[in-house]
Amino acid sequence: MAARLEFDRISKRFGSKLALDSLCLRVEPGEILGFLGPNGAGKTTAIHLALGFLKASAGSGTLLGSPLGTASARARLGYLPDAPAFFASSTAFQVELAARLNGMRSSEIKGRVRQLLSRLGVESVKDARKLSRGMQQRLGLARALVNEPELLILDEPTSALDPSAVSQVRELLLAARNAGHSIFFSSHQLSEVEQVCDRIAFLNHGRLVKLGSLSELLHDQALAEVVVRGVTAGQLDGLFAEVLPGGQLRILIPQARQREVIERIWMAGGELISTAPRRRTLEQLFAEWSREL
Amino acid sequence: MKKSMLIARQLLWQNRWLFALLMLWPYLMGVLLVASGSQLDPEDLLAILHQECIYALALVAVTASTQLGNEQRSRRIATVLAEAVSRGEYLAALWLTAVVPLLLFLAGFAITGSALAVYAGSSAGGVLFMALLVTVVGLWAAAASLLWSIFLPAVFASIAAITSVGLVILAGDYGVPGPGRLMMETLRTGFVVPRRLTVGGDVILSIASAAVIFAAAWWLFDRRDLNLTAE
Repeated sequence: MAARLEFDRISKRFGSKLALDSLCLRVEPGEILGFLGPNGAGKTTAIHLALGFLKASAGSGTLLGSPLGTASARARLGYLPDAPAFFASSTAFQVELAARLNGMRSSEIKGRVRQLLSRLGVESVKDARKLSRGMQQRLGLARALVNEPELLILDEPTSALDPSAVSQVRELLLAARNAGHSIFFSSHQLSEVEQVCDRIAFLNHGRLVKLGSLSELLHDQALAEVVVRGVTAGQLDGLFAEVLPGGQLRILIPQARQREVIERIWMAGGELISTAPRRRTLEQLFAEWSREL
Repeated sequence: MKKSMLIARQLLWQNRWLFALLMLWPYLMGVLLVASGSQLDPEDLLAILHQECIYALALVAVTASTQLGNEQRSRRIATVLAEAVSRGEYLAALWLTAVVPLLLFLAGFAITGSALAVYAGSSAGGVLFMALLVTVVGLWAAAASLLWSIFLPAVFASIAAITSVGLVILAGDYGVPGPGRLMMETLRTGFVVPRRLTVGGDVILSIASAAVIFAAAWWLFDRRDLNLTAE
């Protein structure tokens, strides 16, 4: 099946600075792809290339089957920028304008706008610019969703939201994914990313450092975490062990040595409680990947 | 065109107070002249009307040259161009945003100018003729000013736009055909429409060159990065 968004060795240079270096990335139908990276990594540059705001210095890409920058393809796209900007009009009109610009039929616009604004709890005001930052973000999301897009590009969608709104947005994104829509999601809210994303792409200094499914990346296939009881750290000479409450020990060992270590524990009279690939938090991975390159 | 009109409507509404103030200028001028109570000298009135024609051109040049920079700085452009709107449609919206206030200003000019001309005991035909010619020159000036805004920040674009419009008018004074000569013809027009109209070629040339400049601006804008951290 064709990717909803594809970057094919795309690069972007601003003067002498290479902001994006041969990025290859695909957003597949029905997936939520988390796009992570430290500030200045090139995430917004990649998003702006996808939307046609910037022109690639090298490489190419497609958005919903058309070359990047094709206006008609954007009728099936929803975009929420990190800081949404609005015209001096009412909240409902902002969403209505997006619907009209995407060629939606007049008969379906009013109902859809009303439904979205109430679902996202957007205040009704005459001038949307006067809304609080969090409310503007909700309104921006309503604008992005009005045309029932096949692909949603979200740049920090929950950065200004309160916890209840964050959970609403999470539900909305999951519902959109379950309905077959794809979501390309840039965020620094790692807990959010961990809860909603199927795959993660990590960018640093304009280069793609990691790409994979969330579970694959969080579980370190090279190291195993073994929890035992009935032995002391002294009996496990040469192995790093952390003492847990209740006298249990947590030992980190290379996967290849797992069998040998478990046998040693049994020989010493210990009892094996669990063994699993080491699980790290996204925060740990973020810090680790940010140091790469 | 429908999308361009939708966007232009938003941009005009955004600056409604400024535009309303400028639109009211010809009416205000008319009221002040009549309220002064003294006999209106047709020569003085003609000089004022010619000045208003120049104001109209300055208005369209400044509006057209600053819109793009303002929209990039406010990032509202991202809101619009993330939808199914082409760069050409967006540029057409900016052109309309400059031309609509010009037309409203010139409508005010035509209404008050004609009334004042009759009040001063002259014919109103020349005023309407001037309004028509300035409309054509204004369409050209809007396209030329828009072209500058693609390369330059708003302040420099408006300086470049006014300078280039001024230079074209100067060239028109030396007989170079096109919008400059049309503007010079406007400034030579009195209260009576000239019997022998010689402006047809210049009108066609002005409209054609406006179309060519707009097409060039579209081509260039389509190939450039948006500057979302501009100015």
